[in-house]
Amino acid sequence: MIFCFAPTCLCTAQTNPHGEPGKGDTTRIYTTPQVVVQAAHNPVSRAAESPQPLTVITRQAIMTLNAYDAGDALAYAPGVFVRQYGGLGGLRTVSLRGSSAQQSVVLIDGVRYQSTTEGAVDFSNIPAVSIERAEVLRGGNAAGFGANALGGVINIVTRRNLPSGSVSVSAAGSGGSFGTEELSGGLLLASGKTQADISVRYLNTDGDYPFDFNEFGHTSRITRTNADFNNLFARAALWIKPESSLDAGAAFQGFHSVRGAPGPAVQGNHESARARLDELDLFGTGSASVSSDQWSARVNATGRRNITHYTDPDLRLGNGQSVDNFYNRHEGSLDLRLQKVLDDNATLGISGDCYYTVLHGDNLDAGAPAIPKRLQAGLALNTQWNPGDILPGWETFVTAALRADYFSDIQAVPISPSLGFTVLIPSTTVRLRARAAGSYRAPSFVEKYYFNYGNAGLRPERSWCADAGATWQPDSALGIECSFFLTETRDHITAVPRSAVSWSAQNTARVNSHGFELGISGRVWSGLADITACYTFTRTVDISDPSSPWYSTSLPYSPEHLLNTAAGVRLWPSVRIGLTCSFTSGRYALPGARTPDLLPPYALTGANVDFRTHLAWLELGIRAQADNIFNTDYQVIKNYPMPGRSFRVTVSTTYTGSK
Amino acid sequence: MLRSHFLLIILFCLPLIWLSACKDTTVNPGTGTTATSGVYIVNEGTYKQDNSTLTFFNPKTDSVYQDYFALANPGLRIGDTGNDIAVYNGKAYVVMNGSQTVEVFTCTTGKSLGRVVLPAGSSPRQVFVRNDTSAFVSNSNTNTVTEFNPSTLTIKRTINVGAAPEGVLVVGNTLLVANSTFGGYQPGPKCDSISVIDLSTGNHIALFYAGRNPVFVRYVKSTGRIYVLNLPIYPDSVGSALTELNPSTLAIERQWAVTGALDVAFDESAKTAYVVGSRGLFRIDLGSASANPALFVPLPAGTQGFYSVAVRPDNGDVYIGDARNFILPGQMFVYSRLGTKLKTLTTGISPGSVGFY
Repeated sequence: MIFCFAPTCLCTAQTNPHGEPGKGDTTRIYTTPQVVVQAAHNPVSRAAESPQPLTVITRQAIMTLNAYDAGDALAYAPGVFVRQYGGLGGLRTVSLRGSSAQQSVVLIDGVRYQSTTEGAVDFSNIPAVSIERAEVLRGGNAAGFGANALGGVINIVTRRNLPSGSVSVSAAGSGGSFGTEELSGGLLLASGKTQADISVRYLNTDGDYPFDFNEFGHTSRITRTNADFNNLFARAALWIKPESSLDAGAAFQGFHSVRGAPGPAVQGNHESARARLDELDLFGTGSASVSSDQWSARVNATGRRNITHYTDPDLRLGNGQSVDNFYNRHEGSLDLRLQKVLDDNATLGISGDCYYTVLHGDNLDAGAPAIPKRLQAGLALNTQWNPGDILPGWETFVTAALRADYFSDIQAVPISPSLGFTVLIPSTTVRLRARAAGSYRAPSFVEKYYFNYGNAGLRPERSWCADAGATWQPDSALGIECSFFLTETRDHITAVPRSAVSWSAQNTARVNSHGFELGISGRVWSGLADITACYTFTRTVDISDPSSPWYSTSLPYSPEHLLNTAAGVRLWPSVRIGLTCSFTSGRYALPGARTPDLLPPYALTGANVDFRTHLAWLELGIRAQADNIFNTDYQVIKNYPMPGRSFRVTVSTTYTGSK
Repeated sequence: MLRSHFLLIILFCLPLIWLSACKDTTVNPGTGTTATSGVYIVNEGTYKQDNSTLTFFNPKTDSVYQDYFALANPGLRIGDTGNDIAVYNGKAYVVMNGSQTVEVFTCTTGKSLGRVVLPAGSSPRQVFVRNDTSAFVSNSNTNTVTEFNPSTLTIKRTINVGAAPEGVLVVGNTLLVANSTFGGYQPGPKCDSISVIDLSTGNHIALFYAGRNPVFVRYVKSTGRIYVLNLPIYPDSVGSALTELNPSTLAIERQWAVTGALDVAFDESAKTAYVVGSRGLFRIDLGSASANPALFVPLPAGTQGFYSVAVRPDNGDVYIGDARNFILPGQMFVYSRLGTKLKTLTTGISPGSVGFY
């Protein structure tokens, strides 16, 4: 299991800005959370000197987990809680450090991916086949990454680097319970100054898993219906490096997913039993960078088109007909990043970006604009320097950043600062870090304009966070990290009930989230065994009003304890046996922390056997796995039953060659 | 002589007094003892959380039981989003909007007698029991009214009405249905009308209009009039009023505007209507020709608004529901006819309809 914490990852990353080992001057490159001189396309990866805790989930780890999508993999990073609304076809969002799904920034190859419309990302639409690694940067950092970065940043890196003259072809197919089948393939070519990669994935599941349901005094085994999911994903990218200091490329990815969207299962009724969601998403990026020993510049541009069609024949709304809504959004962005090495001890960077979103949608509130639009622009400064003689012999970095933003539809100009430092204790591999930052989140279009829920007068959320922690590598194959964190958010946007059946988005709460994260990852027993374990304690409470009955009570769906472990033993060179265990503590379905609203804790166990061999120039793999071995009945979100025991067999093959 | 007679009378009466008291003992769910009278509060719960409950209040013993249906029926819950209750002939009929059922139980013991299971997607709202063999429930999502047999709990027929039907009332052989359109959220056929249906044929014989978003329709025997409460409409939240109609001609005779009207209840003997408005509970003297809504109970400090109202038939006590924030347990204030606050009951989430027996 190869999960990296910052020091280990950095050692690999800093060898070469262009993926070729052993070249380039790496020892004196000073990095910032925002821009790296060496490889400005990925502002997160080179964050060893960043005071923000970073966990990297590598491709090998994703393959070892046999993840379907990014959500499966992200669960194994500290501080992450994946909220799942059912099986494979259910919505999957991520909460970082008790934050909401909208309070994290999601990037693809360093450019913003989430939409202004929802503000959250459904990770079930990001297939594992497209992921080279997933980087989870925890804690608020709007100064570095712009609006929404209250809980942290997730960067999905798709770009892979192969030595020139290499080719890699992979294909995999799997079949499993509930009519699940997946086909995926990838092609990666690196030739001279050009690199191209293509990946495709087709996933289909009937989603008809059984679960126990108690209604009318009897518990019976019934089957979840209308939970099917059909997703076709494709990605193509082309990168060119005409010179060692020049890098340019374009990538295009899209998916079409069709799924059932069943609602909660209540006594006597499964809500939205026939609701359907059809989504087409096209996302293109272009980027170019130029760099030298003293400076670098990068420009990114994105364009996105998303068409979502939601139907519910059993729900009448609006015009008296059954719900049949289209949402068509266009988005584009442009950002420019400049970085200058001032001297041997410091760098200075400046960046500017703008985003434009237009939504054509049904079912908007009566007071909403006919066509909601938002132009967002930001300007940021960042610097990193080594104070040098302040702590002689101690490698120290201080990082500071400041950002200002403008929103065309919000009467506010948020200013977001951040300040932090890292210290490498001499003669050890222990690195200490601490930081504080102010961040904010602009309300999404759903929160502002959605029918009978939106509130056009919402203010941005503001938060302050503090973080302190350490990383340690007892040996080259093992990494340990821990963090203590504290975040306080004001004007927290909360769904507030206006009646028994309707809710409204309001700036109501002041929220305090604090906790502890611990992560261990690496190989033991001379590399025969691998282990990844992460534990998170998070307490997220409402501290708005001491006289309120909700004061100091837990926010909904904020479990205090999360434990995820994955371990494997290589019995023979070609056979690995793995085990996964996870535990999620109880969490409340509604505010107020009342016992009737408490969902029970659950523990899940999975096992897998992986056989790999080489046949001529091909690597072949066969994997059998069982998830939720003990057939635990559980719900992540109240009244959305999750699948029980399931099985899956995967056959894969990879060819990697070079001239 | 008189003293000895007096003593005899006391000795004779004592057992009767004692037996009478025993009949009204505190209800112990599941043990068989019963309460001869009581109050059932339907707590709607939070939509789609499957957490609707009943609160049972025994005024004679001053006992309150939360989640009473589950207490009286171990292993059974009442379901999702209870919307209305009707009490008839010792049985209670509770409409469960989310669960698509009408739960039925014995008033004295709370024991479940079963349920009427409505077709998926019906979204039932209000119920009216006509007699031992006929009852009606409105289905807001299918624009229909279902007639069922309240004794056998079987469905008899479905009648097409207007958009988002709510209140149902039977007068003679005529069914009246308030087609609310959900305040404009759900426009459709026969928008904002009152359907008048001949129960012999199931066909519309008239359609009349008493204002937008009619939700409650009631008949008050003491005044001999039909009353329709219109709630505010989307998106302006204006236009709510109580309308009085002649049952023979269905002509509007009087109308009283009440800002932010949410619920209505009637005191038959006092010929009084109580309407929940945005400033509190209003009282209208229906027996007076020049009646105007008068603020009966203003909103207490810290209360965002009243949610429901009901009148106890035997003594005119007024029960006012306060849903507070629709997530935490609510409250029910009990006032006398004279406006004296008698007590405050803690209830479940979103106390709505009240049934008395």
